[in-house]
Amino acid sequence: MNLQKKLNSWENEGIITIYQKERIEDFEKRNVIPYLFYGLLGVALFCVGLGMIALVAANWEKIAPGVKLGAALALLSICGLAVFESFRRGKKGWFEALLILFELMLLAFLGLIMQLYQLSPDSFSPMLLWSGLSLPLWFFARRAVLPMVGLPIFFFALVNYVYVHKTLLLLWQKAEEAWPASVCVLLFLAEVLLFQLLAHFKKSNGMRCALHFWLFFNAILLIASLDLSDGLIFSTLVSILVTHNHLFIALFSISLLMTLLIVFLAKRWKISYFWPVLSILVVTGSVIHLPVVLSLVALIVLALEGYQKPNPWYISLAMLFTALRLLMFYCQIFGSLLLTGLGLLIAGVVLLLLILSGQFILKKLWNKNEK
Amino acid sequence: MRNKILAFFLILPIMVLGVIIFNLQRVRAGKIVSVAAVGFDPRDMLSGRYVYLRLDWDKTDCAQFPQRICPKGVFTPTYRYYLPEVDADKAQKLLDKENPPMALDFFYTPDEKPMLKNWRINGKPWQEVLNQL
Repeated sequence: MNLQKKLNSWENEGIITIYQKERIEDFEKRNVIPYLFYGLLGVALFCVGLGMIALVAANWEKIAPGVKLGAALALLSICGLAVFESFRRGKKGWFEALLILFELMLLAFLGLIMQLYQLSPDSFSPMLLWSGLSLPLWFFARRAVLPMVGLPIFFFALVNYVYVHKTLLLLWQKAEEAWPASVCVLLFLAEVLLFQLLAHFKKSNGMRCALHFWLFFNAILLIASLDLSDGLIFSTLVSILVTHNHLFIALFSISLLMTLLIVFLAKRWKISYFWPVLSILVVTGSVIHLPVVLSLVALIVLALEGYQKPNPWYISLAMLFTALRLLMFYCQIFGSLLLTGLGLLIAGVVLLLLILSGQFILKKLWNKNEK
Repeated sequence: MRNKILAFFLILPIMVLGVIIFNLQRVRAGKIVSVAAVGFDPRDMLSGRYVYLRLDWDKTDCAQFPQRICPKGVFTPTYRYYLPEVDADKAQKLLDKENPPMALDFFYTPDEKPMLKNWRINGKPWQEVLNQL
């Protein structure tokens, strides 16, 4: 519906008077955006930009390395200046867009240095340098895009750095041998403190949002790895990250899903959950099988939330995670029995009973809720 | 105050990159040494736009180093030499067909990590050899 139609209907409904309608029409006429002008300007700028990129790409090998570096440095400086000016003038949209451009250009500059000087470091070192240099700038972002992407990159690069430097790795491992949860608790505590500090900087909203999200993601990831390991969280995570990428991706995905759900639930219940999660981590570091119980409790809570709302989607998801976790338990319990016919039969019957009883309980709960 | 902090953190990366380039240039001022190299895996010599080469110290002239000793520990066992996309195919064909003697030129200064300068095929710079193909 265009504005004229809207104004007519508002006038007919008596929401606005004829006088107000005319004033709105006058105002809108004075503020007509010259779309044609902006459209042509956009096309012209696009052509110039594309032409420049094509020209540089075609002659890339002929351009002297010094010229390449000089041009990159000049472009980065100009972009930095534009970021600063947009911030100083309070142009929020421009600031966010230019900051992203600055970060990308910084990354490209690093790539250019590597190319020109024939450097071949391990894949995460340039990322650590980039994210380390960019991290302070993320505090100025009002939107969460940059810190959301940057924080996990920083985390992965840092973990990889520790893994590559054997002395640091040995230090972590010794700390974990002394107290299994030490490293993760320290990391978590540092994140919580950083978050609490950030609460005083109300303008760095983007970083707060991103940190809020990744903090819980980390907590879930740590709980999940505690569940799947024998308590040596950091060593297990690092070895999975470096040697079994597919396992890490699976763990990462499950933790990400669970984080999303828990953040959603926490928002609904309006609870502060930093310190409970920290205390859980402290306790789970010492008690071996508690994380399993904890994972299951989290899933049951999720299912209950779905039942109270009621939302079958949550219940199904919680059931799926619970089933997967139970299946792991199940394989551990039955072990080699699964290799024999009788063992398979018993295992199958137990699983069937579990499914049927689950269905029965859910149905009862559902009917009670409907009544 | 926030403006000043932002300005500092915007200048910082540019300064750090400047220092990195300065250090790399300092290494480039060192002596040029040539170390013999062989293709690490002839069937998968090129991955993307680089050649994967392993240093061959048996065929390297150690007289070019101080005290005539090859400082093997300073170099890494393998290196990647990055090539432009257009030359990668030619290099692949040449290495598959002939297996010519190769070497890597480095900027070398004692107590510094050597920096890769150029890739030589049959004693000539790779650009010269590939242009003749």
